[in-house]
Amino acid sequence: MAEDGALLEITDLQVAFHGPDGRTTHAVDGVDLSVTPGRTLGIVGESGSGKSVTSLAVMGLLPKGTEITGRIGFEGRDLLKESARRLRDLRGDRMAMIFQEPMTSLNPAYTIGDQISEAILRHRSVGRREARARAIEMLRKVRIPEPEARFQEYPHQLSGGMRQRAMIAMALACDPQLLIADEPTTALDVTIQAQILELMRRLREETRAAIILITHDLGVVAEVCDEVAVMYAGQIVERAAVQDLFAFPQHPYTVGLLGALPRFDAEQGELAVISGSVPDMSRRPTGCRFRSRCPFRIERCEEMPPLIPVENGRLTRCWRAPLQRLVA
Amino acid sequence: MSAATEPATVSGAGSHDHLVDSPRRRVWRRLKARPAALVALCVVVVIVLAALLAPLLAPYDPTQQSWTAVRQAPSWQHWFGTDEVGRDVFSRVLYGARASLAAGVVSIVIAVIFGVPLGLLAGYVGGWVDAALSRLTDAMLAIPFLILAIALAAFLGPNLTNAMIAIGISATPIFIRLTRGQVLTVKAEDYVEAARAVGNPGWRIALRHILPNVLPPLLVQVTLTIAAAVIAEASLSFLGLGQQPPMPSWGSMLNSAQRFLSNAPWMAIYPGMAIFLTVLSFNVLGDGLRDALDPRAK
Repeated sequence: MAEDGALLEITDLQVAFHGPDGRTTHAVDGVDLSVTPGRTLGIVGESGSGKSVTSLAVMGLLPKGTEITGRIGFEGRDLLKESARRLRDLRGDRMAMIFQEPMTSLNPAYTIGDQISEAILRHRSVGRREARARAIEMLRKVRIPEPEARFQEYPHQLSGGMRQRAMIAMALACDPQLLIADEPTTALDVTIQAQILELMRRLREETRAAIILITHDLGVVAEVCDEVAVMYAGQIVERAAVQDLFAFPQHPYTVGLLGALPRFDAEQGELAVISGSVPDMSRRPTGCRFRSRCPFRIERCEEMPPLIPVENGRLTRCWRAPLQRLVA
Repeated sequence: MSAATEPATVSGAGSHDHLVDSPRRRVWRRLKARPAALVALCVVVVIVLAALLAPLLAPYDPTQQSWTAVRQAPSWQHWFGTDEVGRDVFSRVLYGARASLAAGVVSIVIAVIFGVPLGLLAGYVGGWVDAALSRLTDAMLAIPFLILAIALAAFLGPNLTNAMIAIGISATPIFIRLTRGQVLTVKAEDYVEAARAVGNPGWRIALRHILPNVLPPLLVQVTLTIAAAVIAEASLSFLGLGQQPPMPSWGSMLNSAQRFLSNAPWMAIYPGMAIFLTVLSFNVLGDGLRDALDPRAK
């Protein structure tokens, strides 16, 4: 799916882990994605859907021995064909990542300043003094008060929200083109969450970086994303612009996710739950992977549906799309 | 979201005092709060000073024999009495501290220099490197520490240097295993993944991001192993495998004292007390350090 000016273009990505017991788990199975500069793509899915594995594959951070095929095009190169050294040069420079747990993602042995400076010194030929100045500038950019004082503090002296800001400062220190945020707000309480999302939105405007936001929280998606890819059992089941997805979900799984989302703006009885659980990915299921939990299943679902285009450029992996027909 | 545009409302950072509370300072503060550990630290300092300043503090030459002052009881002239050839026991205990502490320190340096990098390698690289190193440490740890040290010292030949090497080699597997275990824990930490995500090469992650975080338990082990090494040196010297006569060592002093236990007990009591105090102090200090370094403690 070639899009004009895509910064990152993933084609048919497959990731398989070979367990020590000889079992193979297909964590990601044929994913196509692309992001353009200045846009935010949300990847939504429950635990084990392959969303984090996809992002780690892009960063080249999957453990050795993992089988990865397909193509990850980044700035015209295929990252899967690049050497480990080349990937190290890209990480933290052209592409960066923010992790879920700000409480444990900073090294307790070094000051905040040391850790941000390290990323700068790694990728820019500058001296300690310049790195320090740049690090303080980054701390200011992520709205950490009194950046000069914070520079020499240790992680345990900062709150969770402040640490996540420091992590963002570290990730953005070398002006990456691509920022992957893996559940950046999950570990934070709601007010801090809103501040961090606001910060990310503002930084995207300033830097024009492409952002991939991985989350299981549709509320976060609605807040910051332009586009959404919904993942289920290692596959993308639906891709759409964010308003379209919330207005008319075109995959039964998305419908289920939206039903399970608590809302304040509408009367709602009990939250809907999606019954059943995610299929075991070490035994690759045949047919549509959602069918055992799907209220709309038909005989044809024994056969794997492809990602089918439905109205205005949206894609869904469901034989029964568009779903409006079913409820009308 | 007005909060993000008003820095004053988001200053939720942990502390507002700008005293930098570095991990090192925090440990020192916690250690100071433990009287037993503090006393032990003082005793260790006194023993180290005694060993360093032995030539200035000792009233007599520790090897000077005197046939007119054989096995004299403690007196103002000879504080700890004299031994079977008239040597001053106080001076010999002071000089003996040199052999004991040298054995403690040198053997631990050997054990750390070999054990920590090998443990780091095993834990970080994993695979067959880990398997090979782990089997080797298992094999060495199957033999009791002292027995292994005695066997190695006997093999290398009886003198203090060889005794230190033997003790050092015997203590190495303890450090390999401890380091490896700690590295395995720290390797899975999020900040190690974060360090990879900013493009650090493997060696830098191992040395800069993992090593500093495995040091605290290693420091505790160092203190405890010094105590074990002091005992090992005394044992080897007692058996004649360590410090050679006429130079004093607490172990060899005990050896010669055993024949006179009933009529000259001071010959055994003072070197015995010295060993006891040194080992106790290092152990108490080690325990105190462990508590002070415990991240769960307040």
